[in-house]
Amino acid sequence: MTTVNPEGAAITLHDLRFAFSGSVSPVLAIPAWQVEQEEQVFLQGESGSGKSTLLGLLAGLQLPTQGSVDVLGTRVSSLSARQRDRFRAQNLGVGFQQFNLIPYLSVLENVMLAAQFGETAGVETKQRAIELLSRVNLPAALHSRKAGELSIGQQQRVAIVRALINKPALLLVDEPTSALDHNNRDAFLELLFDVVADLSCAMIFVSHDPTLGHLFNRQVAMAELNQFGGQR
Amino acid sequence: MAGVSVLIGVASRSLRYRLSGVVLTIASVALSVFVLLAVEHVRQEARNGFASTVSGVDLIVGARTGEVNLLLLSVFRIGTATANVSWSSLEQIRAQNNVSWTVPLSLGDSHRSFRVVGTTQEFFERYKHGAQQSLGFSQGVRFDALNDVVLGAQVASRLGYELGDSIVLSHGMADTSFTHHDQLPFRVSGILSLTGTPVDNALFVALDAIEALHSEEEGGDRPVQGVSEHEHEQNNHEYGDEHGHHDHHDEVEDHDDHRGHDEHDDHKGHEEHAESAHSSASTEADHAAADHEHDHPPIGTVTAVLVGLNSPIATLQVKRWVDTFSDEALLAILPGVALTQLWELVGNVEIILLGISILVFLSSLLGLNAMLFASMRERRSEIEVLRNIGAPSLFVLGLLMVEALLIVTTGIALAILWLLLSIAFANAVFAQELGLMLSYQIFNSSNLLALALIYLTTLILTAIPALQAYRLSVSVGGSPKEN
Repeated sequence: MTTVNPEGAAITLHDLRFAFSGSVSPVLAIPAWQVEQEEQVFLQGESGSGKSTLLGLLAGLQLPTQGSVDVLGTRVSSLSARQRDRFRAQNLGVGFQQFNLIPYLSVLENVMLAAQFGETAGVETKQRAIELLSRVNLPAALHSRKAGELSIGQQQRVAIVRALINKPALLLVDEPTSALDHNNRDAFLELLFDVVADLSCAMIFVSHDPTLGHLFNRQVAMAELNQFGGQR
Repeated sequence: MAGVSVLIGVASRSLRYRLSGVVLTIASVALSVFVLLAVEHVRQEARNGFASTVSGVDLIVGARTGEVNLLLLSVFRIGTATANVSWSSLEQIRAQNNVSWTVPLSLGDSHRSFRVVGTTQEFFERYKHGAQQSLGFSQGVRFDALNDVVLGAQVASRLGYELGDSIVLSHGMADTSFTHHDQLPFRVSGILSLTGTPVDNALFVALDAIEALHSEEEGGDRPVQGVSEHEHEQNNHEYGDEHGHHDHHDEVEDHDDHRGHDEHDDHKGHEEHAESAHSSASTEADHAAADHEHDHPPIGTVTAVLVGLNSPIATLQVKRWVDTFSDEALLAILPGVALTQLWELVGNVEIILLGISILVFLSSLLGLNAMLFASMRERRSEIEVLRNIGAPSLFVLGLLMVEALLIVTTGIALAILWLLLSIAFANAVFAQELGLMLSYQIFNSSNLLALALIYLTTLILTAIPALQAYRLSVSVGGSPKEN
C-alpha cells in the first residue's frame, strides 16, 4: 500500500492551505516546501505560528483544506483515515512534548504497543526495544516500571525509543526538550542525534527555542514558511 | 493490525491503573442495578403472589353481586355477603355434568378478628394456591367432630394457640361482639402450614358447626342444656355412622379422613354418598331442633361455593348455566380473571413500584453517564497518544467500550449476586413470619429490557465522547493552546 520512493524527497508540500472547519481565515498557507531524505530540519516558531498544525498535516492526523502533502513518496493527503493511521504507524516516528506515554503501561509495553500498530511486534523487535532503551540510558530495571512513575526526562527518552521502534524514515518531534532542564536537554539532544544517525532517517524538530538551531543541518523559521503566520 | 488480545490487555491494565475509581463506579452501577432489579422483582412477585392466591378452583359461585366483590368475599374474606346460596342451588350445581367437585364456604363468624370459615373437609384437598400447591398441616389433622377447628398458620402463631386448645367463636366480625358463643367451645384439631394467602388468617370449622352456632344464637334464650342437647342430637344424626368409633378416633387422628374418600378415589361419589347420608339423617334433626330451618343440612345456606370441573373447556358453559340459574340470582366467576381485575383495582401499588423502577433506572443511567463523561475528559490525552503512534480509530473506540462494558457487566453481575443473596436471606429470615417465599426467578422481559437498555446506553455514551475525543485529537502534540 505504502510505497516509499527512495529517490524522492522525505517531504513535499504543494500549494498547501489549512483552515479549521468553520473558520474562514487559514492557519497555514505554504506554496511549496521540500525536505530531503536524512535531512534534519529545525523548525523554529512561536506559539500560534502554525508549527503544530504543520506537524499534524505531515503525520496525517489532519487533512489540508487545499493542496497536497507527500511524505516519503506517498500522497498522505489522499489516503483514507484508516490508511493514514497505518501509514503513520509504519513509517513515521512521532514524539511530542507532553502526554507522551500511556501512564499505566510499562516502559517496554509502551514501546511495544507502537510496534503492534506498526506490525513489527515480535521477539526481534522486543530485543531491539531493550537495546534502544539501554542506549538512551534506561537500564533494564526500569523497563517494567509504569511509564507514569518515571521522571519527565526518562519519559522523553522512552518516547524517542518508541518513535524509532518501527525504523521510521521520518521522525517528527514537537518541543521534546521544553520540560527538561539545561543539562538534561543537552544529554537528550546528544542521544537523539546518535540514534537518528544510526537509523539514517529524516527529522523535523519543532521548537520555539532558537538556541538549538545550530545543531541541525537546516533551520527554518515558521514565519518565513507560513505565508499567513506573519499576519497574526 | 493490533489484535483483540492487545486491546483486552491494554484495557485491563488501564482499569487496574484507575482501580479505586473503577471500584467506586462498579459499586455505584451494582447498587443502582440491584435496586432496579429488586424493585422490579418485588413488583413481579407481588403480582404473581396475588394471582396465585387461589388455584385449582375453576369457578367460584355466590349470590349475584360484583365479580370483585364475590372474589373479595370468598377468597380474601373481606366484606359481607348481601345474599347467600341456598343448599338446593348448591346441589343443583353439583349435579351438573361437568362439575367434578364443590366446596361450600360459609362466612360471617369471627374469632378475635380472624374470620371463621365453615366448610367441608374437602376444602383442604381442593383449595390450592401458588403453582397448584395443596394446603398442608404443620400440626394435627382436619376437623372431624362438630367442635373441631383448624387454624390458619397466622392465627395459630399470632394468638399462640396449640393443638387441643379450647377456643370460643363469636358471631359477626367485631372483636367486641357480645354474642360470643361461650356455650360451644371449639377444640383445635389442626394447624395449617404457612401459605402466604388469606388462608393463613382464617379458622376452619365444619358447616354444621356454623349451623349449630347460629341456631343456638337465634334461640339465644335457651338454657345451656338445651343447646347442648341440640348439639349432641345433631352430632348424633350427622356423624351417627361413626359416632361409635369416634371416641377412640381422637388419638388416631390420621384416620380421620378415612370415612369416605380415602378408600374411594372418586371424590364425587363420596360427596354424594355423604350428602345423601346427611339429607336422610337431618330431616329428623330439622324437626327436632331447628324448626325454622327448612332446608337440607348440614346448613341452610352458604356464602359461596368453590367449584372444580372435569375439564377446563366446560368452564364458560358452567359459568353461563350458573349465571342464568332461575331459582336464585347467582354469579359464577373465574378466579384468575377476577384476581386480575382486583389487581387492576389495587394496581396503584404496582404503578408506584413501576415508577420507582423507572426512576432508579434513569438515575443509574445518569450516574453511569456522568462517570463515563468524567473519565473521557481525563482520557483525552491518552487517546491522543494512541492516535500519534498510529492506533486505528477502532482500537481507541474498542478500548473505551471494552472498559465501559467490563465495568457495567461486573456491576450487573454483582447486583445479581447481591439480589440472589438477599432473596436467600429474606426467605430464611422472613418466610416464617410473612409466609412469603420469594422466587429466585429474577429475570423477566422488563428486567432484561432494562439491562439491555443499560448496555445500549453505555455503548452510545461511550461512543460519543470517544468519537469526540478522536475528532478533537487532530491537533498534534496535545497542545490545544495553538488552536
